[in-house]
Amino acid sequence: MKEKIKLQTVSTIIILLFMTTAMLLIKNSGVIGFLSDEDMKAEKERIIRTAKENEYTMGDIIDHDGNIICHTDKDSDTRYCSLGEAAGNLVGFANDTGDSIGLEEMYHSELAYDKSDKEGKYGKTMRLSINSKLQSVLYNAMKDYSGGAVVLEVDTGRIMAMVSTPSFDPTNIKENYNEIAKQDGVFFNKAYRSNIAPGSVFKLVTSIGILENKLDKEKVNDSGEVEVDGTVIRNAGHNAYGKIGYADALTHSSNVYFVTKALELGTANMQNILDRCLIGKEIVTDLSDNPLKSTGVYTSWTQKELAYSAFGQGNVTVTPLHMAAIVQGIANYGDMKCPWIVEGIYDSKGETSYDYHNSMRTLSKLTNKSVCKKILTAMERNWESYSFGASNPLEIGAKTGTAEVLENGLMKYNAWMTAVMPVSNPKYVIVAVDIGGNYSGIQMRPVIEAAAGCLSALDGENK
Amino acid sequence: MKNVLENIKNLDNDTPVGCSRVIPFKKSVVVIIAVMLAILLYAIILGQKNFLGVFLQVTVFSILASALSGRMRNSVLPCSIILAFGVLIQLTLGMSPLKLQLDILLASVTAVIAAAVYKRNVIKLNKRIGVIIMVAAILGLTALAMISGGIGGASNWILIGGISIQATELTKLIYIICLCTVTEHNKATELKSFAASCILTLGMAGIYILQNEFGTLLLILVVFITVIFLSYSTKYTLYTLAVSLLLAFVGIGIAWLIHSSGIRGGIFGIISSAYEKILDRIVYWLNPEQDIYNKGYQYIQRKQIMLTTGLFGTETTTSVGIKESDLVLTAVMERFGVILSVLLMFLYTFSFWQQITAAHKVCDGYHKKIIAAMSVSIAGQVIVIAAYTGGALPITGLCLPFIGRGGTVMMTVFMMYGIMSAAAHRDIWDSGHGDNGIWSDTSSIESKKKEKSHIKHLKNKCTSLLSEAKNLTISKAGDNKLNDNTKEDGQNEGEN
Repeated sequence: MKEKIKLQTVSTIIILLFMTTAMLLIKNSGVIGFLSDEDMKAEKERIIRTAKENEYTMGDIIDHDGNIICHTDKDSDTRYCSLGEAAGNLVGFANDTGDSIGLEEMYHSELAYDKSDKEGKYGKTMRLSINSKLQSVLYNAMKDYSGGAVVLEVDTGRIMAMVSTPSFDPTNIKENYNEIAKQDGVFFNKAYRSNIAPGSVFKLVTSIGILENKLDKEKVNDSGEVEVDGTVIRNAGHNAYGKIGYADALTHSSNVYFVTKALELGTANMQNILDRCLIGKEIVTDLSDNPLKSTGVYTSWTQKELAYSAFGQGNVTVTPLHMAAIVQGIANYGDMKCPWIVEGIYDSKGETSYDYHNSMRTLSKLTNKSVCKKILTAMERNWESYSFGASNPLEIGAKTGTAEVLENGLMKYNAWMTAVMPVSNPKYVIVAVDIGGNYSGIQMRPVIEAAAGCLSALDGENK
Repeated sequence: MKNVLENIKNLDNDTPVGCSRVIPFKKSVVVIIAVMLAILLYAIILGQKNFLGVFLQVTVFSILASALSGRMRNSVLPCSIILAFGVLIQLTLGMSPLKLQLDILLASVTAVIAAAVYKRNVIKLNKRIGVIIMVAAILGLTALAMISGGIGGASNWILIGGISIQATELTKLIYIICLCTVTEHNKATELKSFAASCILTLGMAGIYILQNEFGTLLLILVVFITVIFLSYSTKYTLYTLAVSLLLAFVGIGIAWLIHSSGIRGGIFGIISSAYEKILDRIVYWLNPEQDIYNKGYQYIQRKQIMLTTGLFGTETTTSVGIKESDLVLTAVMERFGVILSVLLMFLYTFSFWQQITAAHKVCDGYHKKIIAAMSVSIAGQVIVIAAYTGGALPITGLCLPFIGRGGTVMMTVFMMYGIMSAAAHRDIWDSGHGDNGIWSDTSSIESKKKEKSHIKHLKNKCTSLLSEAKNLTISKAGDNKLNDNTKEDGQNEGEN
């Protein structure tokens, strides 16, 4: 090859490499739209956003009445949570290291930046539907348990309080993170995410089928046990109640009654009721990107599985919040609302583009009003049976459940109590559950009483 | 007629074709002043107050460089603009103007000295001694760097009385000259010279591996392949490429074995740490999210800067370390935007193209090779850094010529330009004519006489060729006329 051609070859290669790298700079800077792919555009947007967020201080979180729950002090760069442990799992935190949980994770982009606040450089303010006082009361009542509790407003599905135990104080989370993280399950919101066996509280769901199909007209002779496909199912404590009707069966939580009636109902009817209760379906809420989950599909189940599910054992699992939503549906005479917590996200001028009505939607029509009223009446009787004849001024109706769970060869219990108040004109639903402990459902009564007392006091204040 | 046209063509080849294309000195001064004023205005807009002193120095030195560079002027001009931007970015990044001025002054003086030494053609004339001295210089500088302990554990810096010199930059320059000298051969010494160049390169590769200088190693391998390609037949290039790849694979294999074996004493420790360093760079380049706060940090920052800078840059400069040297193009991208960064790439390309154009004009193969090797070295450096900034390569530790901070780097690049300017000066290597800047030594009566006699010779040649062509045209016209008359006669005969 001639010297001249060789030199030309070298220069051509180098100039081509120059061109290529220059093109690379243009392409990878994303300045030319058609040269950038979707990932690059999204990444660019994210980076610009993060850069802006870094300049801003996290906005406040306030409760339904405008009380500050979370606030960041600019000088010390510390985020304070006025509710401390009571709201730890609920509001959570958003760390620089990427370990984020709760509402601060879900609404981080809103809380971290507010383009209208160019001077103060605070993120937007988020208003929650919870009541700080009720939240504290509920947490203090739940402190000795390991589980979750929820209070819902019947008409709207609004979450008035939601706690999970054990919890943590989000204040100074940066400094305390490693110490807090040592506690097992401390960052897990059990009220929202624990998908567990409901036990006898599920009889409220079975009740819908029994009452809708008027199977309650015929009493069942409860001998204390019933045999299904060769398996004997017994009442709790091996009690036998003789010939009993629906209300007595719910009060005594007779497994024999509900199993017998569920078998009469059959798989298809039960499936229909489960569909209406959205069991086995995902429910998207404003609390998290992860939807509420539950299990329970009857279609291919055997008679034995159907029988067990009638009283909330076997293959049925729900989260405390989902159960609360079902009870809210019954208390709302069949109109099951989606539980929601974010009331508004406001910029520095007090304007909001967030509409909570999108969250406050009807999820399902559970059943008719008369069925609901029958269930509520039975629940009231049930609560009064726990009170040993004491008066029930708050008109609380309740149902307990103690689901048996076998964990590593040991029998553990999910102790549930669901309550509605006041039964004559339901306003609130309370659900409390201790998960995998040694309590029975009735032992959750102090939690219900504490929450009911607080709700009553709040009602008094509002009047 | 054909012969005459060929003669004219040859005559055209004899003429100094490059001369007319080199921008005249006066025009170059106008261009320099206009561009520098534009950059000064830009600096004022950016709010850079310390710029004026250095800017004046750069302007004066650019004019001087333009006067001195002769046929390399077209290549030096864009570099002056790049240097001005380099100064601007370094001041923005917080470099002391005084230090910068000193660096430029020192680099300019060494460039003139290097060019003056090279002009004497001592190396080519004393090839054997020259090579021995150069090899000794490389070994001496490396030994000094190893003994002095280096900076931050790197063994490629010489520390003498508070002054730090990057030994690899100097050894790289000496290697290029040495390689071009070694590869000079005739038919009989072809194989011998090829073997010598291979040994030299292997030795250099060994030194750079010991010094953990893999960026420079990559660069000298590119230069080596280029010089082999220019000096020998194509089959040598193919063999070299194949053997280089084979050696690279074997080397990586051995390094992997040593690293896996867990032996860390002496040379094994050096090889193991070198292997780890390269592996880390590749791993975190491909997946920086693995360690976003440490080893992958620079790559994530680079990516973020690229995506956020936009066409005109931002008001900030990156918080990434080594932004003044290794990541300087990233800092340029962030501060000045995509348009200016691409413009800089264009200026580098133009400068390289002009260097190769100048190399084409040089008759002597040795000097042609020197220009080509040095221009490939500078271009390679720019391409590797741009590729890294664009995300196509892991970080290499190379510094962007004229922009990156570093006195030795600046000095080496300036010296290369000085040597290339001297090499492109034809008066030394052939008869010489045209605008050769200061190197044409126009005050010399002998040189002027030479030039005049050459022009006279060319004029005479032109005149004789033109008259020959004219005679041929006349005779052809005569022949045609005769043919036409014959045809006419024939026709008349037919009619009759």
